[in-house]
Amino acid sequence: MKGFVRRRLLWVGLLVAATISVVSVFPVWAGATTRTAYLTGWLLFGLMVLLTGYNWFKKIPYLPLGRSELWLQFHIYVGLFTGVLFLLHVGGRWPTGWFELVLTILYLIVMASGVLGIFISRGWPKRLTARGGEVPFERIPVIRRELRERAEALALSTVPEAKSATVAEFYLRRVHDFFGGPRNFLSHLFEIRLPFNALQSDFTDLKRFLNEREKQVADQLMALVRQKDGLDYQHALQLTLRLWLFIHIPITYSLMLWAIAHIVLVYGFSAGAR
Amino acid sequence: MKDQLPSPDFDRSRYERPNQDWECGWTCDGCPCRIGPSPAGKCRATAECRPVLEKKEGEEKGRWRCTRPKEHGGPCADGPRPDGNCACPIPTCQPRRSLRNQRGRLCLAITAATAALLLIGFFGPWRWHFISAGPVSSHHHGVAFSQLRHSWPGEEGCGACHSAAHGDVREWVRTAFGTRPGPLQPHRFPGGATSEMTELDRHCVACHPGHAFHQPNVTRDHSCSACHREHQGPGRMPAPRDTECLSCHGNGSVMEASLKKGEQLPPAAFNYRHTSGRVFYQVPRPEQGYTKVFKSFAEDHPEFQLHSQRLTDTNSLRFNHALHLSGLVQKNGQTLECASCHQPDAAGAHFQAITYAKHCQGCHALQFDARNPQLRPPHGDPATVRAFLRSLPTQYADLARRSGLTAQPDTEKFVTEQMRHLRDRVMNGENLEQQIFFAADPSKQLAAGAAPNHTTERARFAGCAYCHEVGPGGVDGLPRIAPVFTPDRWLIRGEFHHAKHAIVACKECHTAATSRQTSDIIIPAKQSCTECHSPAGGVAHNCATCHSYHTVHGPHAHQHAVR
Repeated sequence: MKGFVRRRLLWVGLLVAATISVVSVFPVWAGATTRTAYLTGWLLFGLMVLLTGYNWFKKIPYLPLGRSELWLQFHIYVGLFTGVLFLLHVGGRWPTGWFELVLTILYLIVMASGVLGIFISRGWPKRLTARGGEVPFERIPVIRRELRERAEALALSTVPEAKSATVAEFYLRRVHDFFGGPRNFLSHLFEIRLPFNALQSDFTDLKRFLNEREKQVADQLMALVRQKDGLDYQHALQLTLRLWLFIHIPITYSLMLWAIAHIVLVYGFSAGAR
Repeated sequence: MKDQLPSPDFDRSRYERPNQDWECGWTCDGCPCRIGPSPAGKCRATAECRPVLEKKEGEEKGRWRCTRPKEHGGPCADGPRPDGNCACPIPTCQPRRSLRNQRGRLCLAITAATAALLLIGFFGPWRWHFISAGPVSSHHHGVAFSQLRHSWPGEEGCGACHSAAHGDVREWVRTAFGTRPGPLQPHRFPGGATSEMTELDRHCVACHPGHAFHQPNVTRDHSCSACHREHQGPGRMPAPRDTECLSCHGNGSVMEASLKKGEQLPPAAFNYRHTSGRVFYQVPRPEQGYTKVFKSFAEDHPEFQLHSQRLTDTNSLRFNHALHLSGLVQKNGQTLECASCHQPDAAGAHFQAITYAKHCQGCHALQFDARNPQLRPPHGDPATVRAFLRSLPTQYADLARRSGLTAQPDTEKFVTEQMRHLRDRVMNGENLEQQIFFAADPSKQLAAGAAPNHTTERARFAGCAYCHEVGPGGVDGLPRIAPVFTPDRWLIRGEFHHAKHAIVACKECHTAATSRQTSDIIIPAKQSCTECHSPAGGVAHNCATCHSYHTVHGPHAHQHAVR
C-alpha cells in the first residue's frame, strides 16, 4: 500500500510539475515564437500517438517495452497532461468551424471517457469487494444458470410436498423472469435498491398465505434471489468496467485520423503562416 | 505480474480466455460446451467425449469406454454406443464474438466510418464548409466581400487567401507538404525567425497594398497573419497579442537595426499625417527614435514624450485653467467646470474642438462700450475688426434701430451722444483701435467707463491681447494676431477613449486645477495610467489597448485593391 501511495504521489507530482512548467514556459514560448500553436499541436499529437500506442504495447508483450503497469500509469497521467496542452493549443477558444468542432468533441469524448475509466477502475473494485460474492465475469452466466436451476427445483418441490401450487405460481409470475438473465443494470450501477426491495416485499406479502413448508421454501427462494441480485450487481459493474473502453478506444482511433487530417489542412491552408 | 499468474494446481482447461475472439453460443445460457468454437468462429461441438476402445487379452471386438472428464460429470452411465460413437451428442450452437472481439470490430467500424466521413467531407459539395476553420471576421465579411468572393477560387472565396483552395484534396496535400517548414519538419518550429512574410501574407498585401505602414525605419516587414488571426468568429478580429509587438520592441538587435536605419532617413519621413478634422500636437522625434527596448507597459514602457522631454504647450492663446476652475459662475448660474467647455464628440472618444463662439463668448463677450454692451466687434480677422470700428456711427445707428428708435432725428441724436461719450474716453478712433487690439488689463481699459456699481456675470473685455498674442507687423498696418493652435490630440501615437474613462473624474488624471500657464501640458504621465492599466490595476494593459501597428503615417496605403 505504501508503494502504491508513493507511486501515485510521484506521478501526481510529475503531472503538476509538468503542468506548472508548461504553463509558465508558455508565455516565454509565445514571446520567442508566434508558432506556439504548431509547437503545442505537435507536442499534443506526439503524446496522443504514445497514448494510442498503449493499446498496441499490450498486444506485443514479447517486446521489452517495460511493465504494462508502468505504461498504464504513463497513459493516465500523460493523458491528463494532454488536457493542459489542448487548452494551450486552442487558446481556450471554442472552435467555430465544423471540422475543428468535431475534432474538439472527439478529443473531449476521449478525455471524458478516459477520466470516467480512471474513476470507475479505481473506485468500483472497492464497491465489488464491499458487496462480496466476487466472481470472474466470464463465470457469471454459469453461476446464474445454477441459481436458476436451483430456484426452479425449489419452486416445483412445493407442489408435491405441500400439495399447493402457490409458491410455484408466484415463481412463474414474479421470479422466473428475474432469474432469466441479468436484471436491474442501471439500478445496480447507481446503488438503487428499489427493484430488489419490491421483490422482497412481494415475498413478504406472499408468506401470509403460505403454510409452514411453503414458508421454508419461500425463505430459501428469497435467499437465492438475494444471491442472484448480488450476481447481477457483479455483472453490472464488471460489464461497465469493460464497456467504457468501447467508447474510449474506438473514438481514439477516430480522433487520430481526424488529427492527421487537421495537420494536413493546417499546413495546406496556412502555407507557412502561423 | 507474476502474482497474477495461476497457481500450479489451477485447472488450465477451465481457465477463461476472454482474449479469444469467439465463445460458445451457449455461454449466455450458462452452459458452454467444453470444446468451444474454432478460431474462425465455427461450432466444433460433436459429442461430450471421444470414446476409446479397450481390448483385453483374447478379446476381438473390445469395449468402448466413455472418456468424459471428471469435471464435466465423469463417464456417463450409458456409455458409448456400440459403434464407438458417444451417446451424448452436444447440440450445436451459433458461436458469438467475445467482448474483446466486438470492441476490435467496433474500432474498425468507427475508424472506417471516420475515414469515410473525411473523404465525403473532402470531396463532397460541402467541402469548403466542412474544412472551414470558422466564419471570417467582420472585416472580411462586408458587402464588397460578398460581391467579390465568387470571383475567387473556392466556393466561399477561400482562394482569395489560401493557395490550396485553388484545387481539390490533392492540391491541399501537395501544398501542405510543399510548405517550408512542412509537416515532416516539426522540429523546425520551436526556433527560427517567426515573423517573416509568408505565402498567406502575400495574399493579404495583394488586397491591402503597401504593407509598411508602421514606422519608416522598420527593418523588415512583419507577417500580417502573425498579428491578425482570422476565422476566430464573425465579430471583429481579435487584437494582436503583445508578443507580436515585443518580437521587435523587446528585441535589442532589432531595435538597434531600426535605430541605424532611422538615422539614414530624412526627418520628413517621420512626419505624421493628420487625420481629417483632428489637430495633433506635434512632438519632435527623439534622437534615438522610438527604439527603446521594453517588455511591458507597466514596467519599462518609455514615459510619454510630453513628460520625458518636458515639452510645453506652444499655443499662443493665454489660458488659465486654475482660474476657470476656481468656482466662477457662468451666465446660466452654474459653476464653471471641465465639462462646461470640454464636451464629448458624437463618438465619445474625444472632445469637440474649443471655439470662441461656442465656449468663450458666453463669458468673454467683446463689449468694448460699457454703455452699449450689445455692440461687439466681430471675433476673428483684424481687418474685419478695423472695418467695424471705422463704421461705428453706422453700428450705433443700427443699434438704435434695433433698440426701437426708428425716427431719424432720434437715431442721429443717439449716435451723436454715443460717439461723444466714446470720444471723451478714447479721444479718437486710432486710440480706440489701439486699445481694442493691444489692451490686456481689464481693470484699466475699455470697461473703465462702466458705472462704479456696475456688476456683470461676464468678464470685462479688455482687448484682444487679453487672450491673444498681438503685435505689430500685420498687413496694411494691422496688428498681427498669432494664430491659435489648440490640439485635441496630445498623445498621437496612442489612442484614448474618454467615454471609456468617464468613471474617473477629470481631476484624477489632469492637474487642471493647479495649472496657471498656457504652457502647462496637463496630460497625465504614464504612472497615472499604470495605476489601472497594469497587472496590479487589473485593467487591460496590452499594446493594442492604445496602439495600432498601422499608425497613420506618410501616404496611407491601407486601401483595398480588387484583384
